[in-house]
Amino acid sequence: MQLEFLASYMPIFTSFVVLFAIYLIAALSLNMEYGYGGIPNFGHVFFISVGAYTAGVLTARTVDYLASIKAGYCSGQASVMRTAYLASHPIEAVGLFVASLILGAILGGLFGYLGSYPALRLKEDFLAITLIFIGDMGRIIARNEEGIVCALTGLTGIANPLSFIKDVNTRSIAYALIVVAFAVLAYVYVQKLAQSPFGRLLKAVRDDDLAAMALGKVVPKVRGEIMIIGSALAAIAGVLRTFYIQGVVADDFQPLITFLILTMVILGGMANNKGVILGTLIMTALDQFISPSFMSMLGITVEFDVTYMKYIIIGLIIILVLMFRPQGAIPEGPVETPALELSRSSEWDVEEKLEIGVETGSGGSEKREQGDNQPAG
Amino acid sequence: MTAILQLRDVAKYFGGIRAVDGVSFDLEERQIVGLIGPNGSGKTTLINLISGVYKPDRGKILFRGEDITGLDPWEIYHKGIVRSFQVPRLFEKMLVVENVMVAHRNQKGENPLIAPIHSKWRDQEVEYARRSLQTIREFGLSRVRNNWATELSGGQMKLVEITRSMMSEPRVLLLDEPAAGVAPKLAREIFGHIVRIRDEYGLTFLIIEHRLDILFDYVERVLVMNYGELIYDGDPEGVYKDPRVIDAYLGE
Amino acid sequence: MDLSIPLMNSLTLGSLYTLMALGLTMSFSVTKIANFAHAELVTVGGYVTALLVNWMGFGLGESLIAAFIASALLAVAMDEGVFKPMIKRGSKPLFLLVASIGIGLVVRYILFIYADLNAVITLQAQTNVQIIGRFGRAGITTMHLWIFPITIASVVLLHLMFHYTKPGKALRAMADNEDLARVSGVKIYTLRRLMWFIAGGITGVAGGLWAAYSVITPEIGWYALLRIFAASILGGLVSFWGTIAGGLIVGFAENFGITFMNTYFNVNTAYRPLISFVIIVIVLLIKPTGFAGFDLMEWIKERRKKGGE
Ligand SMILES: Nc1ncnc2c1ncn2[C@@H]1O[C@H](COP(=O)(O)OP(=O)(O)OP(=O)(O)O)[C@@H](O)[C@H]1O
Ligand SMILES: [Mg+2]
Repeated sequence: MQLEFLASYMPIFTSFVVLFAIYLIAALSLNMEYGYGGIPNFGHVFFISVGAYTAGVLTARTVDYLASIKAGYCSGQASVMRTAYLASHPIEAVGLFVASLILGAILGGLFGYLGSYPALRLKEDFLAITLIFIGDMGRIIARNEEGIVCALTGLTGIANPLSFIKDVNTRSIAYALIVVAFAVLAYVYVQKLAQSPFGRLLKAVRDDDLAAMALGKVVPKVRGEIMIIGSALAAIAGVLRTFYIQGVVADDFQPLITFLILTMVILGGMANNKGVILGTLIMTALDQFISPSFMSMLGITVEFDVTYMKYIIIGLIIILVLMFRPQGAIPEGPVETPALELSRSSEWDVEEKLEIGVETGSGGSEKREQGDNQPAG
Repeated sequence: MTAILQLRDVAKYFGGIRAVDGVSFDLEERQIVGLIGPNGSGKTTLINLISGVYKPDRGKILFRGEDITGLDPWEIYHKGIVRSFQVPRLFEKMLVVENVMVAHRNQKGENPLIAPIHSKWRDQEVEYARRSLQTIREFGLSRVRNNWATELSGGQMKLVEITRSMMSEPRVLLLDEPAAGVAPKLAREIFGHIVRIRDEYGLTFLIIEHRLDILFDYVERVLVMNYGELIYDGDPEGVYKDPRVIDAYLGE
Repeated sequence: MDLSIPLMNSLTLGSLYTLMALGLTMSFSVTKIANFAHAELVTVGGYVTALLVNWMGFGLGESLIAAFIASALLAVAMDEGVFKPMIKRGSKPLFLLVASIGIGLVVRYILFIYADLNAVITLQAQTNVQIIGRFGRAGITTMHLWIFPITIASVVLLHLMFHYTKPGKALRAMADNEDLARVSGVKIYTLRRLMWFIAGGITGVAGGLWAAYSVITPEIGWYALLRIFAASILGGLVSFWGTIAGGLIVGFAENFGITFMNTYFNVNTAYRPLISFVIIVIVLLIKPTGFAGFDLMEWIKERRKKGGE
């Protein structure tokens, strides 16, 4: 009895975990670009869709070819046949999954590099405007493009790489583990990047690009690099999503998705990857639990579509955080490199007199103040 | 002596304003040269032109005989010409020590492919950190080295700005009012330090400064600008006797 | 090929875009906030108008006045409630932009809930539209008698206000000096409030006219926003005459561009918004620092000078 009860909640739990992990990759990528790099890539959803569509198109086309599926590319029949093929051909299924990840990341990086072109030329608010609309233009093209992405029908039958596993529960838990593994990898990667001279370089370019240039930093190159890295990560999130929902359709990539992810970053704390985990957790919960299906499960009837409530709350969170705690839940800290460790050691506390010139200030009072002056210690 | 930096008829106009209007001079290697002139006479603009922040409308800039006119700021930096800013431009959300660390050249860990593998750049980072901290100490900033850049006083920001420009092993340093807003004692220390660096490493300095009493104790040559033109080029003693300089800048 | 219909459509849409963009031009030039919630000022104006006309039996004129007041108050509330406190705390312009996205979401989805509960997700103000003349094959209707005069009057009045009245001149001074836009002080606050009131009001009227001209949804403002930005950006975001030119260019470029490409290249008409997007991108690439202060004549002069050398 008890077990059955728990089991009935298992799908909700796994779907939550998968979505959380996918959102986390996307949010970490936006945090790299915007939090660390200062590039307001508010067209983020576009780069996710690049990965999502890469997975969809690559898998659909390849399976149609391998299984000689003659039914229309966008038809429901083809979708059923693809699913059946992938379930019975584990090697091909896994191979396509891996290939999609690689190709998706490459294409995402390529589009990111193109996106860095306006990023070099525009002032940040105009850049934000341009990127927000870029994000939506991609969707407008996709929802009208029949031949490659099947417009509003979308690509379907992009079955899970693990669909050879017959038991649905086991399969979804296994896929959840894969996605979580990717999220962990992504976190370790961005955290390593952030806590390195590269992270410091990003922050310098973000805080004052002219000063960074004067200190020899090739700012266009740095912006290009971070857009490539960020967009490749976003695309990976898109690939994982396509295989999770087993398809991809244009209207999944509304600008609202970017704003949801942006809220994760702002709420958690910009330029703080730990904060982003927290922000993503809170916002994923909101995204999942303020939904018609969850409401009906709880037996709550609402007269209107509850997703509206979700967006109102997202809007309110954005406003309130920016008004009252713009640094987010966990504020940005310094870049933790060995240099900082060294700097924290008391060995460097003693003031040395310059060799030429007169004595500086009075040593005694300096020592006393020291404790208060070291927030990072 | 050889000329390390040469300006040939360099000009920059902002709309109708002739900010720099046909300036030519040579900087000899190991020289410490003062650049003075009334407010708005084009001194900062001149540094902006040399350092690649602005492209000149006319004229040529040569570094060791090589034409560097119109290169990007980072290219100029990598040639060995480094500048500081009149109004400090610190990286706000970074600690003082981080601000200084950024300035080092050829950092392995700045390559995103190498950056995630910390062992590849750790040694270099530690070495750079020692040099940074040493210089921070020399400039009397040890006490605030682990503070946020925004927590400094105006004078301290100025000091970080100069410390930073020193980190990059430059050949020519262009300093825009390094001692402005710095207490006289410390100002003299900074200049003493500049002389020492010149002697030790053979650097060349072009220094903008309004505090002539201090400046003239350390420089061997003075350039005076007025309305974008060079009106005096000679030793410090001559400045006080030159009628045009007196008229335009010194007053009676 | 008969061009009278696309011509009339372009003119009508161009006027509506102009009217929607005037408020953005005004608020951006004075406060330097790229206000994404501007979209919702359009939508609220549209809903107020449509509901008053359809449910209360108001005339279009009275309803537009109500729309003016509703959107004007909303605009003032946005500034007082969010932007002003944020500026006081020294927020960056980009944060103000993000906050405006937040405001937009809140207003839009409150409207959605309201519309859902009252079954007015799609809505049009039922006015008695009569054809009063012909222009080629296109009809000239009573709607056009509302849209064209209101647009022209708004541009003229704003121009007169900004050039010949004291508060108008003061607002222009604020627009020219970015620091002034961030200074606090009672007088400046009163001016700002006045500015938001007028900017919001005009935008509300534009939404109201849209509701009478065509069907609206709670997302109508968001869909129009791309065109609004394109018109404002083309107009340099500083001049009202520039905005009218921008609005018309957007109207014409979209209608003729898509008709042309559809006829000759078989391009799907749903790609219409791409034209406005391309306009934004092109203008920004010409003047990457942003459109504030962009003066076409100045730019052409500069090019000539460079070419002559
Ligand atoms: N980016 C710019 N745009 C327009 N005019 C400028 C710009 N930069 C400088 N100017 C103008 O060029 C002239 C020279 O300015 P510059 O900053 O070089 O003077 P300066 O000699 O450094 O003065 P100070 O001693 O006050 O620092 C001034 O008239 C200034 O207004
Ligand atoms: Mg100066």
